[in-house]
Amino acid sequence: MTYGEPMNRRDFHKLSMGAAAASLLPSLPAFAANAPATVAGNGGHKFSVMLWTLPKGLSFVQQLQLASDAGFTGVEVGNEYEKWTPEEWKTNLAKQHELGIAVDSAVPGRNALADKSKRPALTEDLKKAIPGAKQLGCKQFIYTAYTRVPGQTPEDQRAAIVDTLKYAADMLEKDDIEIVLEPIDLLEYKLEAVPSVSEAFEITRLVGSPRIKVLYDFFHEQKQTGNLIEKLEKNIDQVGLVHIADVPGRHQPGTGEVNYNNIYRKLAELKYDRYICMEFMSQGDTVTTLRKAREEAIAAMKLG
Amino acid sequence: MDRREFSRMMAIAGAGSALLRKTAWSQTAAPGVKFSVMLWIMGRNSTMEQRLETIAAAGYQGAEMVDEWMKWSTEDRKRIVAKKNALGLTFDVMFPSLTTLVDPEQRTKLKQEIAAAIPIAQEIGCRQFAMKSGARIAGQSPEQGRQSIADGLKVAADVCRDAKIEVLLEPIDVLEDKRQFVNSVVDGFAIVRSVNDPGIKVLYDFYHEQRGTGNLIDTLEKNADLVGLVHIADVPGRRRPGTGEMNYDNIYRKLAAVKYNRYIAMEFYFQGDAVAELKAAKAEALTAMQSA
Repeated sequence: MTYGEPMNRRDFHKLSMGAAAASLLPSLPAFAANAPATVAGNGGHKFSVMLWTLPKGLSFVQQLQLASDAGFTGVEVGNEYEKWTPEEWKTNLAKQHELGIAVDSAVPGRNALADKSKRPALTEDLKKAIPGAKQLGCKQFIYTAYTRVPGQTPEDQRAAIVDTLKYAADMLEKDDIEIVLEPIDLLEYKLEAVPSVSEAFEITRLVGSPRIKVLYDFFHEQKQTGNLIEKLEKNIDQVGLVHIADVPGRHQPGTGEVNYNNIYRKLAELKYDRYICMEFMSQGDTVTTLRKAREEAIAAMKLG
Repeated sequence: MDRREFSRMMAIAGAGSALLRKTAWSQTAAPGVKFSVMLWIMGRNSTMEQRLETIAAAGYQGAEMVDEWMKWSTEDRKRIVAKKNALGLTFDVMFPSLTTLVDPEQRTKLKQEIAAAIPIAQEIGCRQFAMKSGARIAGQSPEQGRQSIADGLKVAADVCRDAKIEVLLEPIDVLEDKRQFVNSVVDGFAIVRSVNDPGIKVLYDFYHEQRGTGNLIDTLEKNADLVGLVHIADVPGRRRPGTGEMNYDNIYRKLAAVKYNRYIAMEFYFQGDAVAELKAAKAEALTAMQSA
């Protein structure tokens, strides 16, 4: 695998330092030793980090720097940006551009997708989330189906969720924003309406829009149902995003019962080219752990 | 957000207890586990003697049967037992009956079949009887079904008690058999716990559990006291550990941590040489357990 331009720059910078010539190169910023990662430098793969998993108390600028230091080219946010001041927007966007980090997904809110009475709330959430998402260049919203509606049959529930997702897709069309439906295991939320990707794939196929896909979170799926690779293989056309964490504990791959090497290999074999998002609590130093998780994924996909 | 806060709390709690456990495990040296192979996985074309030879050549101590023994004549049994003894192997588990546990009207048949299997088991030196729950019955509520399985297990254990044979309930994943009542060890453990009989345990087949339910280690840790036997194969494909989505190293480490000291039975299809694959699978398991 060839290295991207930043690696060359870094090597050049190191050489220059050795020759005590750094000061002669004013165009190189002071942090060039930590040149931002690129998709090309990551074997052509897009890696992101879910920001809520990072240590508490970091500013958005610090979070971006941490992700970049760990070699990531993307981050995923909740809806915290809706509360940023104009000054924060300026600083945060400047940092995002400086590091060349994509905000690949955001979570506008949480509403029971099977409950039509929640549609005004959903509409409101999307309206609030869209302008900031556009500023951040974010083209994908994550939604969970959330709470089941008491008394609803499985068929009615599925039809209602399909209808809601069609409605949301229409609303997001002009801004070219996609939605990924994320199942949540019942051990985490026992009232969840869509606890497995099996049901989510049925739903997105019924919606039939290229802009409505499934977030395959291997952590949630392993807690709920298992049989990860077979479902991935059968439904890869519907997968819009994958989330990575081991079970039990939601720590980095290798700490639990999931063999991520073989899952990464299958992703490569299936030519998955969307974001691979790390959503785990690092055991040990966050940057080191994230970097290692990313490098393991790249190595496994090379073998795939 | 609750879900995030919750997850974080879980993670923090998990990290702390993992650290404590690590300290405790380091005192666990080589665990007293034994290794066996499920015979049907080796193909029914080779003779029983050939299969036993393969198992012994791979350094295993046990061989497991479903209903193979039912077709043996007295002569067959003598010959096979002689072979097993010569190789120093044990038949560690067999299915005494294929009769359902779900249906209360089948109890007489169940009792008769198990009673008939006992002298054979004694002759061949087998001390564990495995059984599947059987299919769901239309009109029976889930609660009635569970109760009936619990009653059936109790019947079986009572018949086996004097012979000191243990009864195991084996859940089968829904992808393999969608009519089977007990599809997950989660349900299996709950039923066996409700019977509360030291002669009844669960056969934890990690392959079936991964196909139908997942969450393997958490379930193992919570129910280690009721695990009578474990079966090993990776998903998908039912091949040896390392070929699929399961991290068996960490499952073996957890087995060592909970002081599991019974049989670990390989029930996977061979892709190449049987002896080499069985040897490798055993070595990997021991290495992982010793690093727990």
